[in-house]
Amino acid sequence: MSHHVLLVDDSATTRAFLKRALALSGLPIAAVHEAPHGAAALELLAKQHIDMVFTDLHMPVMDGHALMRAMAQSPTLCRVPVVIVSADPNAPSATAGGGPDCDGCHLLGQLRKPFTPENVRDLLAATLEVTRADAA
Amino acid sequence: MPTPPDVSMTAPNFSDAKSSEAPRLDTTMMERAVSEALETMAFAAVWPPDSPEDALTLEAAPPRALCVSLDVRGPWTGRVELVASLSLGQMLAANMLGVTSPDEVEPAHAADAMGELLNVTAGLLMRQIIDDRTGRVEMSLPISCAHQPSEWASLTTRQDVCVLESEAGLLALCAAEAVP
Repeated sequence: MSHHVLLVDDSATTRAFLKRALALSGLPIAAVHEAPHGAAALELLAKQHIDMVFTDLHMPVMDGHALMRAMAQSPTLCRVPVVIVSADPNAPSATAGGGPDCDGCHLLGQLRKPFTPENVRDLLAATLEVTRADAA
Repeated sequence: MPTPPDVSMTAPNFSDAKSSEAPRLDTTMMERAVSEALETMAFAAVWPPDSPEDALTLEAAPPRALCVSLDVRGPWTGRVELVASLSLGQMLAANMLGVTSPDEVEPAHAADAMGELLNVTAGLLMRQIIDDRTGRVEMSLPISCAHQPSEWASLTTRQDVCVLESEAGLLALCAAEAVP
């Protein structure tokens, strides 16, 4: 299955770096979509099927916590896996795939900035493994 | 990234700051944080200037310098600032964007990368001094403005500033604790 991935970050260079890291991760990707803040992400989520969201926490207009709370209130979006990508020292430190829900949404894990492409690959390998195990 | 008309290089004055109880940041912590951020984001190293005295002079001021800053509120309250040549941002952005030549990077992307470098560096700094006991930290979004060479000497001689050398020239990281 190829994934439609949404990257939400106000830094265009960080989105580009994450996009490159995802290409190296081995995750089958159908398309990478981008949004500079939570509000733009919600607009995109309303019209495009997304399999996984990577979101920063600190962003203008609508931050990552507000985005996750909004997703949690939607019967369909609450099931979309979310990975937090943040330098915030207080970001939820869920271990990959096994962490508690964050703001009520389906949190897969956290990618702490600064990150390397290897960190992205390892996180996805762990989370997808757990997701498969949960489904079995 | 929004650009304000002016960012003061003096410490912000937060009325609810509790500096007497605040954990302290030193230049070793600052060097460690910016070093880890640059190494991970751009495979780039920083090191103490070969001639520390010369690095603090007006003549050493980085050309086409940018100042990016963000405010921190929590167990440590104050402002973290990074001053460096736009070349550093271009080098960083080139690595993040996968562009071969830093010269091809547009100034807007270089400034964006500098803001992200500061955001990551500030996060690494705070992780060195906070834990579950000390509580939460709030960090603002980074803002940027041009840095005047004439301000370099007064900035770099301050006690709360760490001056380092990189492939792209000198940089200064400042962690100014708020005046209560």
